Amino acid sequence: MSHLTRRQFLSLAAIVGSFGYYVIKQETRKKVVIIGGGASGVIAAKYIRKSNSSIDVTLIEQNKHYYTCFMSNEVLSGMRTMQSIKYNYEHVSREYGINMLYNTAIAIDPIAKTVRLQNGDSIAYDRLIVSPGIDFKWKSLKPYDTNIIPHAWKAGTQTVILRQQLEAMKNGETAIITVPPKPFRCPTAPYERASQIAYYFKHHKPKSKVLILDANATFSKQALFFEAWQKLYGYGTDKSIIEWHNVGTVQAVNIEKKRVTMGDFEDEYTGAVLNIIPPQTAGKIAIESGLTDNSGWCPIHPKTFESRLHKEIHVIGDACMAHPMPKSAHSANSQAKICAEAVISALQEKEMAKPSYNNTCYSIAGKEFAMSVTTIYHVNNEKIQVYKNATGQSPLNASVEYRKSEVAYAYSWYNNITQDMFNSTP
Amino acid sequence: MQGHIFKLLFFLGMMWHGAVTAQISAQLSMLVNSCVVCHGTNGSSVGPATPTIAGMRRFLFVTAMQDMKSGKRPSTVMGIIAQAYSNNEIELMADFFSTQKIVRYPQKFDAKKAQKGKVLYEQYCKGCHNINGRTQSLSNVIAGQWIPYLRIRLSEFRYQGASSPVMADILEYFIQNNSEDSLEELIHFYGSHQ
Ligand SMILES: Cc1cc2nc3c(=O)[nH]c(=O)nc-3n(C[C@H](O)[C@H](O)[C@H](O)COP(=O)(O)OP(=O)(O)OC[C@H]3O[C@@H](n4cnc5c(N)ncnc54)[C@H](O)[C@@H]3O)c2cc1C
Ligand code: HEC
Ligand code: HEC
Repeated sequence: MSHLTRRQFLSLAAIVGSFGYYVIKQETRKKVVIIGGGASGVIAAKYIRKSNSSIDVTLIEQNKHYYTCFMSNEVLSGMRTMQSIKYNYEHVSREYGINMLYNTAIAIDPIAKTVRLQNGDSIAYDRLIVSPGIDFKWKSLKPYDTNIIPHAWKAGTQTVILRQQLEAMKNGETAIITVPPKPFRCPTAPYERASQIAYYFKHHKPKSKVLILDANATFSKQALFFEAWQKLYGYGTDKSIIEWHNVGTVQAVNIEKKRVTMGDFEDEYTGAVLNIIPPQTAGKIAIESGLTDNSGWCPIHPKTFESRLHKEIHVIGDACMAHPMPKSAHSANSQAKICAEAVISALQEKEMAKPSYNNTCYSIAGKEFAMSVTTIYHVNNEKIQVYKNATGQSPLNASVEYRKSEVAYAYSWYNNITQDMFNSTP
Repeated sequence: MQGHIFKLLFFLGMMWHGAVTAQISAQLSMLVNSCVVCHGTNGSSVGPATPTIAGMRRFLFVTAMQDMKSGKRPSTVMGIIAQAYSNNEIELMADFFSTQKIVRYPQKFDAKKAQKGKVLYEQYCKGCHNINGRTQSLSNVIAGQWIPYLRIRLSEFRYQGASSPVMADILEYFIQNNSEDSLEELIHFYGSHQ
């Protein structure tokens, strides 16, 4: 200061207020690039900008529209339209000054710190967040046409195909859902899906059945689902609309005959509709960039979500291994907020706030019947652990009003989490 | 010299910048950001049921959290969630939510019922839950709260009254002199305030 006269100082300050400030800011601005604008990616983008608008954030997303998987099971039963689960990035990117790049990331160079896009462009980053969701492990299954045998495990066209197939079924025909071995995206969603399809059958095709062929011997909220199915769909009687069998993994698929071969005993099942939920891995870009281990998922440091395999790259959402957190939109949202804080702290070389992880999964089993599982986690010894006593599920045999109230709370969760993501409604 | 001016410019720029975007501490953000998923941005829920907690009086916020944590007040998920927060963290969050402006989103209500509810409100509830008084000391602001939530709360007071003997008594008295339908009318009256 002593080198400056008062006059010089004042004029400098004036420059700061106008042009000079921006010139400097541009030069020193740190750049964060995010691959994938889903439940985790768009939240990371928003929350970095929200708490630090001097960081430059670019979100690379391959689609202009995002259809939420969450609530997409209600499209299958006809309770919801596709329009009601469709969002875009206009509001959130404008309100928070996020640079949108509608393109596909095809390669990451962790040394040069750049991301290459399909259109040939190369984008530089100081920190990279990888949030591409899931891909399917076709290697374990001979590829088949998913327009005929839909997975509907990424929402959009796939959801529409499955809905149309269900509508085209004749009363008395069977729909089959196969469930892959854990871990996979949203551990309760196959059973919620079966419930929603059963709801549709009950009202439109009362002689039809949903057959769940499961690779797992137990599943999340099992007792609650059994209760719901008994109360709503005659589960356990010979009139039951839902059947559940633990029969191992899919061995072969016959497209023409709509037939699946299951498990070590190679039992065959035929249905009018086959909904195979394939085994899963982290999104392709994560695998191809060497961010995954043998399991097909990305190992991370749980406090920062920084990859254990590549420095300065963070992985969040379904793609990362955040066990015991389930792969859900709520987990993804929570991880994104923690990662945002970790990235800001790293760029500013400050101590990071203590992370708080949480998840609630609602499942809607019928029009007025929902149940939830809730857990808060914390990090301890480099591991994510359940916070003492902060975990639980809806009680068994709860009242009709209780189940109904959780439907209203589930819709509220959906509306608020999508508002959080897109700053707008469908 | 050049370098000094450069640094100074930058410093001033950051100061100016900091003043424009007043920020709450990273630790508090970490806590309250997790509530947004269900309670909406800054605690104003877009509904249809999960309550808006923005603008909740500090004391009432703390009581609600502690009562749900201990199980004195019935809840679906909050009894579990509240376990994870210390008294100090609850106080911090109370500071934040109590100072947030309430944003009310439109909701459907039955205008006829709301009209009838007004008379009942003046007779039975106004003393403690004045719709104009947004700083009521006795309970959360219920004018404009989500209708399904009001319905759930009133039913809790009636059938699981432990958390508020006062409200349990009032509702018992109310039902004795009126009907279930008139309670609905009251709910629509409160819900109609947006
Ligand atoms: C039927 C069903 C029901 C569900 N129900 C619930 C529920 O009730 N509650 C709940 O919490 N969760 C639910 N989930 C789970 C939830 O959908 C996922 O956990 C969540 O979407 C994961 O978020 P993510 O950010 O990891 O991935 P996604 O949300 O899938 O986002 C990934 C994004 O990355 C983009 N992308 C991928 N690769 C690239 C690339 N190379 N370049 C550019 N963009 C790319 C994709 O287009 C996509 O937009 C459900 C899932 C299913 C299938
Ligand atoms: C999974 C959804 C969910 C999350 C996450 C959540 N809440 Fe709640 N909250 C609810 C629901 C639902 C209720 C109604 C009571 C119940 O059934 O649990 C509620 C009620 C409340 C109430 C009582 C409001 C009143 O009018 O009396 C307070 C206070 C509250 N929550 C605070 C919080 C805070 C603070 C957080 C974040 C730490 C939080 N909640 C996170 C769903 C949630
Ligand atoms: C004598 C004062 C008094 C009167 C009169 C009164 N209330 Fe209350 N009310 C309270 C108190 C105190 C609470 C807080 C209870 C608690 O949360 O433990 C409350 C809570 C509530 C709540 C829950 C608010 C929330 O956010 O969770 C509702 C809804 C409510 N009252 C409705 C009514 C209605 C409707 C009437 C008229 C029939 C009424 N009250 C009359 C004192 C009163």
